[in-house]
Amino acid sequence: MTTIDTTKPTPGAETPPVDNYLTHSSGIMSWLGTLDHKRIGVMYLVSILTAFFLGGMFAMLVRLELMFPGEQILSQDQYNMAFTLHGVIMVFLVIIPSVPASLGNFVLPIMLGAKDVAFPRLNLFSYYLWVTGAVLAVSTVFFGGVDTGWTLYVPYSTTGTEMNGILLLTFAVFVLGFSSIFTGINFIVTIHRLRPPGMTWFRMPLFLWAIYATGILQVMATPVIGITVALLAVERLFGIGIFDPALGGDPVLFQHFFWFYSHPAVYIMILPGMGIISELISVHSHKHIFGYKFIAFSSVAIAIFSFIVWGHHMFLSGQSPLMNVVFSAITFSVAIPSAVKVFNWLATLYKGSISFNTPMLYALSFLVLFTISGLTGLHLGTLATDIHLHDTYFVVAHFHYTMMGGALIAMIGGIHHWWPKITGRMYSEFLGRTACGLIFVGFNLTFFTQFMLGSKGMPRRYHDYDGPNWTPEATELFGTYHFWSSIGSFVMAAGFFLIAFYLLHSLFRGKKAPANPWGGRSLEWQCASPPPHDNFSEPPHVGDPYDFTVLEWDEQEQGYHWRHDLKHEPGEA
Amino acid sequence: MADSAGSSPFAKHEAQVSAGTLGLWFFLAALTILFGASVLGYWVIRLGAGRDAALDLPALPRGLWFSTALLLASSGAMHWALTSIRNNRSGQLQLGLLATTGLGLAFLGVQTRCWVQWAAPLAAALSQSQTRFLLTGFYVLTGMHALHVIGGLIPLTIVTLRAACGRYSPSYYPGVRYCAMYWYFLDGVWLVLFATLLLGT
Repeated sequence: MTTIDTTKPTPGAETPPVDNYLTHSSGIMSWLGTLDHKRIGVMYLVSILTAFFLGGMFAMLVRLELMFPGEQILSQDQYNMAFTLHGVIMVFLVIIPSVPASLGNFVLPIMLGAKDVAFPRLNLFSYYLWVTGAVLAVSTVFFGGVDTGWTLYVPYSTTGTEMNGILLLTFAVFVLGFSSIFTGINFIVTIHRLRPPGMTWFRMPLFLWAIYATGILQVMATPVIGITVALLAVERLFGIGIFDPALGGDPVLFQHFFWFYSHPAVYIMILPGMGIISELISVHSHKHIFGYKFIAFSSVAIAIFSFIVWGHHMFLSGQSPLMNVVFSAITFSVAIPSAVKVFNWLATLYKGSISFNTPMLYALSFLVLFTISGLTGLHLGTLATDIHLHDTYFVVAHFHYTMMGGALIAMIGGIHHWWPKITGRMYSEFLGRTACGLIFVGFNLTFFTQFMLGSKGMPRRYHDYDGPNWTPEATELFGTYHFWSSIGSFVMAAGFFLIAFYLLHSLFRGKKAPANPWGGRSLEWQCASPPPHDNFSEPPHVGDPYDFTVLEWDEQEQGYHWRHDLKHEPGEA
Repeated sequence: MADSAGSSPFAKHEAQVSAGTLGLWFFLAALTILFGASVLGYWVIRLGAGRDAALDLPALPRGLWFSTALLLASSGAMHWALTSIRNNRSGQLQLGLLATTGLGLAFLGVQTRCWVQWAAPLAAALSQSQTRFLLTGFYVLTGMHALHVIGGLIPLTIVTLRAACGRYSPSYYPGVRYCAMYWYFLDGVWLVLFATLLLGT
């Protein structure tokens, strides 16, 4: 039994020259060769945000092109390459690794009270695999580009002229897949073997459950995309028809293989985001999470379901009608665990003492946007309506609401939530809330209009909507929607640049962050901000990660700490 | 999953080794999916080609039986090495590891010979639609397996060298253990692939 020493200042608060992971060693090599999970997490964060910037720029090109009828700034071929690279970068380089590799790497071991992940060297190796894959993927621009869409569907990918681009990209996807598998294994084993005494599976923060479920998906699904792109490369190199119908191959086989990975990959993207939302909602409502076990198990249920719904991407591919019905029915059932989460989050908010901090605003945005994405998913999962909506902007809007409104908004919320922990600085709350508002408004303006575009019949991937093949009414109607969609994307871009500005500004001018600015109860809030090299100088207090009654606000410190009157027994809930 | 020095987050070696073993199990699970998907893809293409397609295919090279025997012997040697270190016979450990590595290399040699042997029928068949089937069935499956054997030989060589330096003891032999797990796995995968190829042609 330990009594908290009330006279002792919180580490890092009043004794300035304290050693932390940022100051532990210096020089570029101490970063590039580091085995410290925190530094690797920061390197991932910087790299992934760079890729996000790049992918965003390609999106702006696409939006500028579509803003008005007629060719604007890109030729047809350039347009195809721009949206392909936007997709490839955002999916493979940004959203799939975003939360686990950056925030997960930083937070996961600290949440477990551990010194590092189970295999620090493997962790660094994963990072360099990611870098290699990223360089390869982006370098396709210099080798003729890729214009197949990120899905690499055959026969586009087997018959085009941009041979080298496709080969490079398949190799990049292969390498990125390995990075993803190794990260997944690392986190699974870390969660299995490095939980501190007293932290049972059901006392883990829900973020860790989400990362665990994601890890299982990464390990089990990624090999399939590996073999798929390997076969694609073989086909391309030797001209042998595996998938290409002109050579006697089966293009639907490619789609089956591709979606067997890429549907679970959707959940590799969204599950960690959901994990973040569980943390944000509970911490910023200062209220115990509602339905802990339901949220935890729904992550696992979603992971399992995700393996048996891939056929819903292929309703119009000539798949048998029976398969379509089965896949449609299973797809609907994914709504159950997803809704379980949403309702539990709502119940957590109910009668909570909600602080509308920037991270919380992102969590609330997530709730709205993710719900819209889930509900529009039903239209696409229904066979009859999907025939109308397939390959229209409705699909584009739906998955942007999921991937961006869900996964990415959660990640940005997570960055704001853990920014004080990562950097030891507070950002400007006012600018933070402003940027969140800009992004929320811009996002909806961009993508809600695309729901309408899609239901009116605007096909996706089209370079233009003017000319003899379009009626003047269609051109005018689509033109209006596309115009406002583009305006929305500029608003959103302004929001992201604002974020970049105030976060960078906070590094130099931000207030020093206390150890626990939000009142979080999980273990990462018990070490200093930024954490010391070994994370914890003394073992942290393990307990119920959502029991906020043990904390109280300290005006002087501008943060939370343990209640003075509390005697604490380690391991006690 | 190298043997860890100062960077390990675990307080004890045993915990690190046990975590390494668990990690390797998950890695093997991922590889199982990889090979499983390949075999599945093979059968989809094979059955799509029709029942009689096999008649047009040249017989599998005889050398595959020999390479199968070599790989089995190699796993036997690995097992011998593993039991040797458990019983503190470091001389036999080194011999066993050497034999495993040697037999593994010999396996690759015989596989290469088989690939060359089949190149002529492949060239002859290139005009037919079964070509894709020859290629996926034989070259992709065996090639992928061979790549994994090469991937296994690298750590195996390191472990063999370390064993020669006397780095392992009956209470501490993680490298040997990881290599053995991986090697048995590759052996099992090969048996499945070989059976698939035999049934398919």
